[in-house]
Amino acid sequence: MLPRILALMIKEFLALLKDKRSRVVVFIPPILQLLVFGYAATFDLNRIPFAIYNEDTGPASRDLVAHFAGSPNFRQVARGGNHAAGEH
Amino acid sequence: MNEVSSPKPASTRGGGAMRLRGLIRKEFYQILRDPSSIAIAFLLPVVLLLVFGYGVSLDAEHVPVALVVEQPSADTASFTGGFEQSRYFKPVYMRDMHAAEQALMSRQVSAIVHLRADFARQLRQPDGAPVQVIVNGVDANTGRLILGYVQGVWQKWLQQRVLETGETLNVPVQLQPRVWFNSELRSRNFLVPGLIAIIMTLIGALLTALVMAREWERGTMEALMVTPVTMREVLVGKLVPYFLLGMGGMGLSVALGVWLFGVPLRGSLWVLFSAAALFLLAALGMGLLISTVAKNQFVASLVAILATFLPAFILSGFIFDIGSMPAVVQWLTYLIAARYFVAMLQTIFLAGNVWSVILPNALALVIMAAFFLGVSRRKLRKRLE
Repeated sequence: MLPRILALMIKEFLALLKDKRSRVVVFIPPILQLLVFGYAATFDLNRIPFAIYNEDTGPASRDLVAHFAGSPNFRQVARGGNHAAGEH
Repeated sequence: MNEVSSPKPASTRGGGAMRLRGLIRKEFYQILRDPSSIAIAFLLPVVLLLVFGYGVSLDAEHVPVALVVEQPSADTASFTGGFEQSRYFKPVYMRDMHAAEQALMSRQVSAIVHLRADFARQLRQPDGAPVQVIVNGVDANTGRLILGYVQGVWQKWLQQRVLETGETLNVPVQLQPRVWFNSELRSRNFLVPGLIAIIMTLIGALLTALVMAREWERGTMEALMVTPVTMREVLVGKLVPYFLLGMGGMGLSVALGVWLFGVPLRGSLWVLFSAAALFLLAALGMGLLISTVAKNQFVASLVAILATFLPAFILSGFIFDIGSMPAVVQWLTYLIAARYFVAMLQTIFLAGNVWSVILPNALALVIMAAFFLGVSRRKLRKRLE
């Protein structure tokens, strides 16, 4: 019985690999999905767009703001000394 | 047999409307007598919303946490009391680290908070007392949430201590955070609108992916071709009934989202349904294109699921933040119709009618719908081969 199963298995593998369409179906979608979804599916957050509304012009506040700007997690998209830029 | 595209006399225009009415009526009868489309439009949203709405939650609540207190005292009790009051934790007391580690390993607890025997004594030293926290980081997202909540408990305890002992806590900057649009930070409020987009993607593509392929498979396409109907009429005749069916599914999903899951709907209904109509046109167009090319129900439904559902799930911003993806993957997301719909739905549900979000996304959907419908129109010829 075992040799027959073995022969059938070899035949199935050959049938799968010899046919160009099944080759494509077996190999291409998993690789593509792994690449695209693997990079896409992450709960990490980076480059979070944020706005700064800084009324103080002193060095202390600028220093604090610089820490946000230097972080890879944040990306400053707006800066405001007035309410329009900071709150909307 | 080429398409009849020669200029027709004006008198057949009335006949065109009649033919279209006939086609739509035929399609409606077909829907009623073969209720699989009705199941797709109305059963699928209910099942998916129930499964995902209750099953998928990105919140961490009642997290089992092992509290290892080597030497119980008034100080440790006040510290661990914070865990008991928090709705995020379900504390389990353990006497030694070994048992706690075993529990973490066997996933009985998700975190260990370890107070050493000298906790109370160290507390009075200038360096303060160390508290060991071990979090199961297999699920990185939940791990981070737990860590944040532990810090929250710790901070609250510190503040209370300051009030009680009169010591001064030297923190020069205080955060005054406000959470807008979803102030309870309920992940369901954010997931359900996205889920509706996923459901509509699936409905839209499946409904139409099957119908054109079915006509080919059953040979009825040949019967249609010998009638005077034009292929444009066939296309519109397929589109209208399934569009109405899809909008019905949308209405059902929204009703479930608002009444069952308690998601706030801050924008107006007409904006919501206009957005849905645009998206549905794009999704149906994509389904039509798939089934025009595939000509086989099995292949068509397979392609419809692979080409629409999976990308919509992962690349639409439904769960995973698009802004955090690598640039190449971000470009890919522009090809996914669900991306625009997810952005619109989340805004309409949680923030309201924010036109600066709605209009650009709506425009993108118009372009996508025009593209898919246009290409299916071109691909569909009165030709047998």
